[in-house]
Amino acid sequence: MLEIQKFTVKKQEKELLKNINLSVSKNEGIVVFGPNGGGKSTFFKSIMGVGDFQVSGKVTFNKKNILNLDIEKKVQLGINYMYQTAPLVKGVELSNLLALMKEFKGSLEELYEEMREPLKSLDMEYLFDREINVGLSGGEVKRSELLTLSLLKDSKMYLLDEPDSGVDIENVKRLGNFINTMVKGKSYMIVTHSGEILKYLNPDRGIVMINGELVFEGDVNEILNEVRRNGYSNFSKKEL
Amino acid sequence: MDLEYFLENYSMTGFHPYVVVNDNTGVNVEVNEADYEIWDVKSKKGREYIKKYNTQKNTFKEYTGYVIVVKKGASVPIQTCFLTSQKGFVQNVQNLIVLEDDCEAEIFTGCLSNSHVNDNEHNAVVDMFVGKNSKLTFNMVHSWGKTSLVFPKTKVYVDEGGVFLSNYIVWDKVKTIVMNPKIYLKDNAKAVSKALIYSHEGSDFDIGGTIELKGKGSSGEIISSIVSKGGKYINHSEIVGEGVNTKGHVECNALLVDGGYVEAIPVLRALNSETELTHEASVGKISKDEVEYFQTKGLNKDIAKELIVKGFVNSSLKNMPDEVSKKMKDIIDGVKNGF
Repeated sequence: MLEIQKFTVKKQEKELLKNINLSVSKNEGIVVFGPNGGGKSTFFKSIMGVGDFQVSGKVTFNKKNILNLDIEKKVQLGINYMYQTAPLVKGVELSNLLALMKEFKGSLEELYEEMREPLKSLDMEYLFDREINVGLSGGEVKRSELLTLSLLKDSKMYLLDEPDSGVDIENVKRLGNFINTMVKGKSYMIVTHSGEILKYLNPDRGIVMINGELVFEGDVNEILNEVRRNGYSNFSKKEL
Repeated sequence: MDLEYFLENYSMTGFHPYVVVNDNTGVNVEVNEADYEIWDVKSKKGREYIKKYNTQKNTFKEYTGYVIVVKKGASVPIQTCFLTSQKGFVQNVQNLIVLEDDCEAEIFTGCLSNSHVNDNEHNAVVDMFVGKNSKLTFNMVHSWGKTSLVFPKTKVYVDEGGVFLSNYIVWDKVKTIVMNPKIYLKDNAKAVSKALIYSHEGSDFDIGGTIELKGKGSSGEIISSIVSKGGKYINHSEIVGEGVNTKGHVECNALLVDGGYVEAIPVLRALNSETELTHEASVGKISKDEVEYFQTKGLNKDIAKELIVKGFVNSSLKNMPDEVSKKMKDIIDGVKNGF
């Protein structure tokens, strides 16, 4: 489904990702591990086209070259991205965005009625008419982002960058279950530091990214246990 | 834009009475009630008030205008509208608004020229007196033509404990507006002057103002928001801290949608060590991060930008009176040709 070959990413001549090769199959779930600054967020952003990066190599989605496509065209193809740190947008209420995403022509009250169920499932009815991510807690931002993510049509693959960071235990469960339902029958890649959210998902494999290189690939639990015991010091290129 | 559309969509707020002045004809309604009075500026009563309040000098040969006097203890909403409907017409206006002590008024003014009228000019001298512990909210939406020249000269005097709130909006094309009201505050008086301007290609704005914090404990804010899609916009906003324990703040935020010249000149003058004056300004284009964010939600770049501009406008309208922000939202939502 998603084929990444010799993918190299630079920012102002600094190499952030080096020669990444990865293949993500249909319905496959991959956990991306790695220390801070290892390149995980850059990896998702540069696939999506978010941020100022110079990219080279080959990235295809269902055999279509997507490397230089506009972001929204990638969304139309079914690739959906959730920010680690979503921007806050002053003056734009979540309801304004929901109306545009759903091409909703009715009143805000009617939109609220239509959105009541998904809003409730994320315990965020009260965020409906709030400005996007302005003054929200980390957990509220994540819930809000997940809601809009789940509205995107014809999703085939999700890139989820730390959906559980800054989220309390109770809400991790809520988000985990929500994501589990959302990704059913779809492919996904997820970045997590705590691994807490993986209890609610059923990923197929894990990869480890250090210093912009993909250095390890294997069983999710094995990687998680090793990281919890020894950090990332034992992962190296030769173990691949 | 035609007159009916304007009156329906821009100006009509349901306030009563509704004073309409066309070209240099007199006011359409005079009122002499216990709560308030409205007079034609050239009427006997009007002239008496002009003399009594020692207003700015009116050097116009031909002119029109109103005198509004709100009486002690009253609370009134009033709507007014100035329009020009002849090509090349020079409309000259003298207005006087007086709030006696302990009263309140909210005035909503729409000013426009008929859509088929070109090369018109609007000059005005306006004096406002806000009495002790009185509150005047003055909302003004301008919709002159793309060839219109607009030169109002406004002075506002706020007595002890009084409040003056000004909300000024220009959204449609206009050639030139020069408007720098001067506001003078006595002890513990307060003024907040907000402006939201859309600068189109070919427009030339010199809009700002001065607040003089003369009395002790007085405070003033001048907050300007500009959406620039061309044209030239100069904002000269000045606060003078004269009295003790005074506070002033100048803020100018400009969003550059597509070119245009924006110059923000905040001036803070402290004449007293017991004054606290601040300013902040930001001039910048639409955030690429925000556009990309909305693209990840499936919106194309143009729609994303439009949403961000609307967000900027919504932020600017915050804390403006409901009828102003609602009117503006309706107008902006109705923009057919996008930004």
